[in-house]
Amino acid sequence: MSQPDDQDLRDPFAALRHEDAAHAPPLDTLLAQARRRRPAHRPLQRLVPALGVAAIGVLLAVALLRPGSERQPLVSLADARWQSPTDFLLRVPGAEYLQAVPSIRSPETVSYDSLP
Amino acid sequence: MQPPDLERELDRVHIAAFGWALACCAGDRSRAEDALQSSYLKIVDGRARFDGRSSFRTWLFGIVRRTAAEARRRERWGRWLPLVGFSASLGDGRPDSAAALIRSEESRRLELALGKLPARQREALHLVFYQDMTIAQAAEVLGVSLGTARTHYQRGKAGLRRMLEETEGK
Repeated sequence: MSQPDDQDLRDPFAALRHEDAAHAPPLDTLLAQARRRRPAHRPLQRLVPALGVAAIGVLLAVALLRPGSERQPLVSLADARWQSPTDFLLRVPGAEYLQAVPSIRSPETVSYDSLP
Repeated sequence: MQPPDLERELDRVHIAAFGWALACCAGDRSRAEDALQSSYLKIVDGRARFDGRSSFRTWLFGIVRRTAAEARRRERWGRWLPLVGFSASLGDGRPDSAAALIRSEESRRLELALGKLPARQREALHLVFYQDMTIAQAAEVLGVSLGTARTHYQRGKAGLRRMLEETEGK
């Protein structure tokens, strides 16, 4: 409860209360209006905001919780094999002979019998 | 509580509840009536039940306060979701000139000064000075501890006196 020395505040509040009371709508009218408002139940109206919030939540969850959500490079440089566009110039006739090391027969296998 | 008793109790506190609804809706009469209607509907439909743990008036005021807050939240959502079709009218929270009550000069000054205070302080002062509640009852309506309500009340009183003195000088 307010203190006795709060009369300076109590008076204007009492005046306000008096004015409000004079303009208060009758209870019966208010209850009748409230009851009339009751059938205006639109389930979609309640559902749409809830669905919107749920959709935003799902999108956020998918974006944040996706495994390996760190951005992946489009081309893996480690796996890529680069080939020079002028590689074909190195393909010369007889190149296949240069690919393999020629074998020379070992001296033990050489037969000297046939020598004169 | 049975419906006839309920309506008798509502009738007993209706005028005070209207004053409280006005305070919760920044003096906007149409919003206050809407909040009061929705609150009564919750009670009549049984969505809010009086369990006798507090006085009927304290309980009802708590419902009115929450209902007015819900309406404000719906309006805020309505600004972001215009396609949803919220029927609530949008406003800036100041008293609607068309729906405003006729006020004396003294009451207008008081309302202006109260409007500059934080909501909790404004509500605490209204409950104590306008509704003649104790600070403990005000704490119950506001859903805060007694100490917190007392702090809001003391700061509100000091702030209101300062505001009233400032407007008196003008």
